[in-house]
Amino acid sequence: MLKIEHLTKSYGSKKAVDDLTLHIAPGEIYGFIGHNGAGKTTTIKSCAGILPFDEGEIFVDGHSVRGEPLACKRVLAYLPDNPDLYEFLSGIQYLNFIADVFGVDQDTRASRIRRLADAFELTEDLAQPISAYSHGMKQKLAMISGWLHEPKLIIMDEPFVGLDPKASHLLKQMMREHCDGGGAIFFSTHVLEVAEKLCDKVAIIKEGRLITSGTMEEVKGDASLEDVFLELEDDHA
Amino acid sequence: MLKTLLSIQLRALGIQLTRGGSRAKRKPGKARTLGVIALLIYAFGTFGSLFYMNFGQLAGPFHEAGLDWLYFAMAALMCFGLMFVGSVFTAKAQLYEAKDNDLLLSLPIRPRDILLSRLLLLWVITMFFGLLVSVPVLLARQTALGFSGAGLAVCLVLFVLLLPLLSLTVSALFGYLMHRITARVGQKSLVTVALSLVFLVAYMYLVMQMNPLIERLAQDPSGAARSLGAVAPLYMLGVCAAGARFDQLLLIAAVVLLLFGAMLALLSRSFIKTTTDRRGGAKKKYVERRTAALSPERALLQREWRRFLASPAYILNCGLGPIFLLIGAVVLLIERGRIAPLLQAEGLAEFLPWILMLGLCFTGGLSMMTAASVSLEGKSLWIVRSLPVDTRAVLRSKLRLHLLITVPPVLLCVLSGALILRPALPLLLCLVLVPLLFSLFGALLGLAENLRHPNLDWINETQAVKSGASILLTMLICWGVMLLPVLTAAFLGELVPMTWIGLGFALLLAVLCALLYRSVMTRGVQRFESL
Repeated sequence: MLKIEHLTKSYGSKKAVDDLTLHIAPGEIYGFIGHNGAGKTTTIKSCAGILPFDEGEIFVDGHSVRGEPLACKRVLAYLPDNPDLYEFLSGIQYLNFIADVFGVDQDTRASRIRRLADAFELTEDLAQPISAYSHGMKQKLAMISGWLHEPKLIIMDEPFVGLDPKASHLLKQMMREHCDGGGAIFFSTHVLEVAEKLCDKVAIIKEGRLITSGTMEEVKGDASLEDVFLELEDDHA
Repeated sequence: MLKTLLSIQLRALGIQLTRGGSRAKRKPGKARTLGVIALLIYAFGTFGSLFYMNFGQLAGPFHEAGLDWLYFAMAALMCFGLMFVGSVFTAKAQLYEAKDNDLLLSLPIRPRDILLSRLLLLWVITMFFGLLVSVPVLLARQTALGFSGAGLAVCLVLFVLLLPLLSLTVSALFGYLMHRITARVGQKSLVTVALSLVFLVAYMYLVMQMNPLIERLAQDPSGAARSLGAVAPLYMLGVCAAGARFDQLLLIAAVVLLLFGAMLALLSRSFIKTTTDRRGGAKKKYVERRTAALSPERALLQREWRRFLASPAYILNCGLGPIFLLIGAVVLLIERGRIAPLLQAEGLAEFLPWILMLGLCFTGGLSMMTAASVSLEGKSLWIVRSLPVDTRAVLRSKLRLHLLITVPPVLLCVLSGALILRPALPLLLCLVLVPLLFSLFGALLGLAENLRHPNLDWINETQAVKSGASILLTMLICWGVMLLPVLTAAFLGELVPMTWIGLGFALLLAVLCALLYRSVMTRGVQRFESL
């Protein structure tokens, strides 16, 4: 579903991502772990077609991000770490905008919005302007917009930040269901316990370079993901 | 702490003026610096010449009538008016709606220091507006009568320091009241726009009445002296400036500082409550409705519309042209009885269509929607960048919004004008084509300039629509291009018929539009995708 091949991206003389290769298959929840400034967000933004990259190639559902960006964006949803949404719109106007752009028909969008907004307990606030939303409410709205067009691939940057425990639990369920239905999820997180319980595969990145990747068992063995992460970080210091 | 806060504010202002606050942290180019200087010269030139000429007529007669104080009282009134109109909405936005208020309030900084740092910056901005009036007024007085050293010193302290501080005090209080009002109403945008237009129209009316007023004053200065003399502070200010009275200057300074201090104390006490007020009145309850599905292009256009209509700052700073054009169309129809005799006037009748055409271009040139549209994407730029929409469609939606707002009022004005002037077909063609093409030119130029000079890191959207090189450059270039047919007519008017000049200008605009469109859809697209 997502193939990152030898991705390299520099900011000036600093390499933010250096020759990164990862493959995420349909049905997989793939966690992306690294310290602050390791290159996670740069990688994620490159995959979402937001950030041009210097070398390598990224394929989403067989389409090149560089060559066919629109084809890629049609099948993915990107949710950033900070949900800066259109504050001049109400929640429902934002969702309708996203549905219009993805060509979701009236009946389908109505039923999906109803189901997702009810699940996130946001229905009553949909008429409110987004400027009146709390960070958590914006995060929930972004989640609903991400699931609204039923993308094949969902790319998320720190999706659990700002969500209340109930919404976090719901999000984990939705992630699992999405992948069980043949979709794929690639997300970054600092919450290693969540990654350990939720992810089928995990990749650890440091200073733009991949340290290790594989199934959860392959990466951590009998230890905890936290121990492995800290150990690997020290080894590559 | 205050010093640190102030230096951050000044640095932000400097970056906006010289670098445009774009994410590419490039150093200010010479062209940009020259552009800012050119704009300052232009602003001082237009406003300055207006006030210099008008007050130049008054200095001598008032002096002879022993009414020097009246000259300075009137100057103070004009100066205060412009400073107030120029800063009241900035005060509201900068003091209470800045996005870093929460951050600063969470730090161990007294609210008074936050407020004071912002007020000091606003004082600088207010001073700028004040200088547009005070410099020409003082120059006119110097030319006519001269100043003593003490007289000049008193005037400078009064007009450059104290009057802006007084205006700022009133602006900040009005800004506070407006914020409180708009925080409690649902139609915040509408109320703010309506209030702003009231202020603006009142000031413009005052400026438009300046010529007849000055004529009346020249005939009966003592009558005006009686009226204005009844306003004690104005009289005192006038006497202080005219007589170089240091004792009164100290008294005025004390009163102004006292008022400023009182305002600061009042606003500081309520600052946290005011900035954290819940906006928008009662909560709207969501009722599910069947919404028509739109095509991506229409959805993008609707997004642009909603952004425009939701932002008073956007409407007032970038959409004044169409509002003036609508007013102009109505005025043309209502006043057609007065305009009709001008058609018979020898030497003037043949120029009326051209005056109308240039007037439409000039007013249309005040429409700056596209020149701020990229900057307004701000931190939510990621949304359109991650959606499956062609960047060209995004840019076209910005152009469409601009044209949908500007073209109907232009056509309405042309129609009103044509009904009165009844021009021949070639002339009518110029009258229709030139303003329409000029609107398109302004839209494309604004978009191209905003793609070159985006400001995505704004804290308050007023920064995106008020400052930044794209708006300044678009306005200057538009008005520069408008001079082309005027200069052509001035130099070749006797050789080439005016209609040909008009049609030639239309052709030139069409070519420029085609080139700009091509540039926006190629290089502009690349720029947008690399933001």
